[in-house]
Amino acid sequence: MKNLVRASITLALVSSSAIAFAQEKQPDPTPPQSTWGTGQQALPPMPADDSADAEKPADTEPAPATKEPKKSEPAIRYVPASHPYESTAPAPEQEEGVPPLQSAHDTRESFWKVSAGVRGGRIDDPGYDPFADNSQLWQFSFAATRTLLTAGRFSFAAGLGWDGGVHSDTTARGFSSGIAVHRLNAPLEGRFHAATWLYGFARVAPGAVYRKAWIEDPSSPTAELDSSAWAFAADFSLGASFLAGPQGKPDKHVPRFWFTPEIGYAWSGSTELTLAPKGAADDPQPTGTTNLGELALRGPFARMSVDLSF
Amino acid sequence: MWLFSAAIALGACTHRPTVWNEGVGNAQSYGLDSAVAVVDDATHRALLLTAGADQVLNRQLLTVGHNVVTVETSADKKTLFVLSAGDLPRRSDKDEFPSLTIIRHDGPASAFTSKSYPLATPLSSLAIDPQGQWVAAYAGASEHATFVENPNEIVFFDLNAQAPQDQPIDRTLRSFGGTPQRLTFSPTLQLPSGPRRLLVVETDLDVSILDLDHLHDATPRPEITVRLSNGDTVQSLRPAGVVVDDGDPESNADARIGVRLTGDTNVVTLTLGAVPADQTPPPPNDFSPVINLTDVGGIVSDIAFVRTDGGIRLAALVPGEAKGTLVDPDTSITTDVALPASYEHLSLVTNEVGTPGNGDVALLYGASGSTQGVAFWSLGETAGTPYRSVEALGITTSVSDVLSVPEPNRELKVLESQGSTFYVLNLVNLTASPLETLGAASLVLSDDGKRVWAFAPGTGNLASVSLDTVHPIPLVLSRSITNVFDIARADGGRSLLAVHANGGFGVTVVDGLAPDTATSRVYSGLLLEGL
Repeated sequence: MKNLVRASITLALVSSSAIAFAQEKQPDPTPPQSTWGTGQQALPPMPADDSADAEKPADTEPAPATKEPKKSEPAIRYVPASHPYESTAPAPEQEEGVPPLQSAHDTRESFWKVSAGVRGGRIDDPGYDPFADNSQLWQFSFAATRTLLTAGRFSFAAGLGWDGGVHSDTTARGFSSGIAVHRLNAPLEGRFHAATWLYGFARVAPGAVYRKAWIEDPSSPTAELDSSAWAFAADFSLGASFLAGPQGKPDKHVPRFWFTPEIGYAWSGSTELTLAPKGAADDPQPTGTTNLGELALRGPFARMSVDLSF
Repeated sequence: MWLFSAAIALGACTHRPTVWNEGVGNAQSYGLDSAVAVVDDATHRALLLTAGADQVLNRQLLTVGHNVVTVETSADKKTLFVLSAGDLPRRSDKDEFPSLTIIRHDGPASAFTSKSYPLATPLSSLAIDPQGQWVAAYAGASEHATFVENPNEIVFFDLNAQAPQDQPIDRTLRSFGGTPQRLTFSPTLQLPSGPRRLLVVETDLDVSILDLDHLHDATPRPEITVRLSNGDTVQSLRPAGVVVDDGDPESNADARIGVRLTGDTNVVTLTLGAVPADQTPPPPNDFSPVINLTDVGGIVSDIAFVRTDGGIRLAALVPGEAKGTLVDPDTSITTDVALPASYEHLSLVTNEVGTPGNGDVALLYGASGSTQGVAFWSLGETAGTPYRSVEALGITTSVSDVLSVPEPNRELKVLESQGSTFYVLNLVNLTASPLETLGAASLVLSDDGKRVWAFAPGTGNLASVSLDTVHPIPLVLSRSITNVFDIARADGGRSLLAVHANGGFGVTVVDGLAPDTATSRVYSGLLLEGL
């Protein structure tokens, strides 16, 4: 338990460093591309100021003749109407050398993504008490998502996910006990791309949870009582994803690494905790059950994952 | 990131209730008429197990006091008494005082209810009235539980009283150096002043008699203390057991108490008569004991008041002399009867034998190492023909205990021996049917008088023996047996609950009337439920 806490804090520190690293000026291998559109004309020169003449140093060379703009060519600036970043000034978040988000083809916005992380949850249901000496449930998380829709700064992704973990270093009235919890879900994620290196998301992940609980009780003919059940489950979470790098080549599917912290609430249906001797289903001897009430694996959770997009 | 770490830290702060850290410990089971009670002191609960059709086990949980000291059942097996010492020292308002918890029900179909009575001081012993009216809690012979303790204090609970008399009654017996060791509730005795129930208290040194029918008086009647001495020395004698007899139903002046003594050859007879008219000032009690001390010639192992053709006598077994002695309580004249073995116990079987009016018949047993297992002592023929009054039965092993079978087979007795054989004794035709076991067996009678269950503790070996046909039905359970209980079901059937007191506590429910392991049902982890 303590090791997992330390690992999480380390991950937090590492991710902060990675984000700082990601925000440093990156050498751009590709020449900057103008986003101000084509056909840009030079503005006409400012009118001469007599008061300034006295301050002007004497020219050793005659001033080059300025080219008078053609009356047939008005000084206009063309900005493509479809571009989101319509401004005469550079976007404040736009770093030099980092291409801003362009369109649906920007692979920093639209991508396949696989994630691996650690999830820590809290289960306050009294049915959890025989199998855990505290409220924590730690699980490994794996997920794969794909951006399906983009609309400006917003995008929508869906995928599949699995969270699995075991809590087994517990005793119930002196007898070893434990619980294994597996969640299968289909995350549905709405994203807001605040920058090329950052997007926030809100996620709903409906699915199912499977749990198996056991107590090594010598009073059982097989010295173990166990219970397993499925229930409907859904996660509701908010998070942010930070692009560690690389940030360039937005039009190419290059592997990019992200760090994603997330917090939310895990909901699941309630299941009966009726334990029976292990293998009772195969035993012709009629067997009674041990009733420990109900268990609903619900509660807040937090997750930290490392993602790979491409 | 800090939010993430905080979420983890919040999860670490919540711990489960401490009850899950309490081991099962030494949970004990007690048989009631229609349930088995399992007292789980670690979680302060009593688990009541009742059986239904198809070997379904029903559970009911009730709270009992903290730190259970002793548990007793009533004579009719409908009530459970749990005496608790409470939490000492008390550190918070949640810590409990000592208490007596009474758990009872009105029949197999009704649920159990409980009532708790707080006590001012922890006590360790209980005495249960066979007639179900009184319960007495006292310190007994246990070690001190508190810094200061009154060993002569007895707390009485009147189970039939209505408010406000249903509260505990504290009495402190006067002491001449002894402390109460054993309490015996008498039946209703016809005393000169009317019918009365008495409590006989044996201390280290003397015997006290307390009037139970006047316990609720505003001015309590003091107890009558009889100091025991053999008259030869100043050494006090220690009582080893008492018997009470109402005497002739036509007389109200011959109720008696018999007392045998530890390590002494004397027996004491107390005849409860009227208070002398000339006694001034008048004593607070309306009866007075007359004391007789009689030497029977050897250390006495058991006593009983018996009817002989010569009248009421106090029969005393003297195993050291292989004899029985009959003591006339009025004259102290003794009559010795030689016995074929050094029997240590006697049990009156007059009603079962079916010869009332001709003197009592006693069953003698408990002669260790003897080949004369049991003998019948016909007291109606004692006077004048002592040698023909004792008849040994053909049981060649020593009988350690005699179990009385209830109706409708009250003429039967089940004899336990120290070997691997037990007997079903028919008192009418004087036959003893042997049943042999593989090793030592424990015996449990059914309350309906139809069966005896034999089991080997620590193994799964079990057998049901019909008392009508003496036919055994062997059964083998999958787990080692701690104890068995034959209980009534609400649907009129009967079930056997075999207790497996290992781990989280298991029970196997077997149909009592048609036992078959194929239809039995196994339950496990019962003390894990309801937490």
